[in-house]
Amino acid sequence: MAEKDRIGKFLPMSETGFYILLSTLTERHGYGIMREVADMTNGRLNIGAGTIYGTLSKMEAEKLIEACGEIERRKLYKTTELGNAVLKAELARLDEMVTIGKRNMEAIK
Amino acid sequence: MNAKKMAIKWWMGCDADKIESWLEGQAQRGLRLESVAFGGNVFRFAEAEKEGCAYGIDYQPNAKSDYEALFTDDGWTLAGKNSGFYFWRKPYKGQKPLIFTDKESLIARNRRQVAFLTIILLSLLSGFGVTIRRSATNPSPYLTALIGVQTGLAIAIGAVLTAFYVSTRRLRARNS
Repeated sequence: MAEKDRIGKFLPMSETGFYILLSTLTERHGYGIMREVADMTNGRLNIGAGTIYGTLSKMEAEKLIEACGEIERRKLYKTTELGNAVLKAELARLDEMVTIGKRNMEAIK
Repeated sequence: MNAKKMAIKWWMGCDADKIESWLEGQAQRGLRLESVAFGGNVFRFAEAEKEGCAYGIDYQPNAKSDYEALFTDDGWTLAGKNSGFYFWRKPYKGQKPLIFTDKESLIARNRRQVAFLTIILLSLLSGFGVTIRRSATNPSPYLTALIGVQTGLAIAIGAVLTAFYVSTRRLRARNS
């Protein structure tokens, strides 16, 4: 139960948070994350620099991501085990919504 | 040498978007922000090409070492920095770039300023308590004047904090 709560308190995730956490499955710095999220969503989601900075600081404090090095004064971040577990739980939640949603929409066709 | 111009503008942190629009208007008239001073209220401009230029104001009194690099990587130029305020500038055509793209980060910017103002207000109030006690035992025109100044400042900070409260409530009510 405690483990479920530990993950559950992060759900549902914001779209920005979800894609940031997804992009740090591979080590990246702030700007790399911005580019990756824009690429993943075909340019639809352009996260501002201030929003990225604030979200990364918050996620680091919540231990969803951790700093894992530095390149030219740019901190590198990576998703932690907790971050991974939160991503999995969020995916399962979204998956259930999509499955049920599709089934019910099919039924009324 | 480009001609320099100076402007003074008083504003509250929760009205940052109005200052951003004003700076953008200045850029369209050919005035590019060069520096800010005095708590972000004194603006110095240089004459430049008229251009479409977005401005973003952030408040980061404890910015980490990689803060500025993140913005410059994204094409922003630091036009001025003062008292924790960062004034970022980015020329654009078409879609206007923003430094904050969700309401949570705008609420967080308000929260950082409210935290600072609350500390100022609390230290002012504790100073106020000391002045009142001294005035009660040993009244003087100096202490009476000091009480007046402290009261005025506390009311002003209280008014700014109220404006932040209203701004944050409005942001929370927004969809995204």
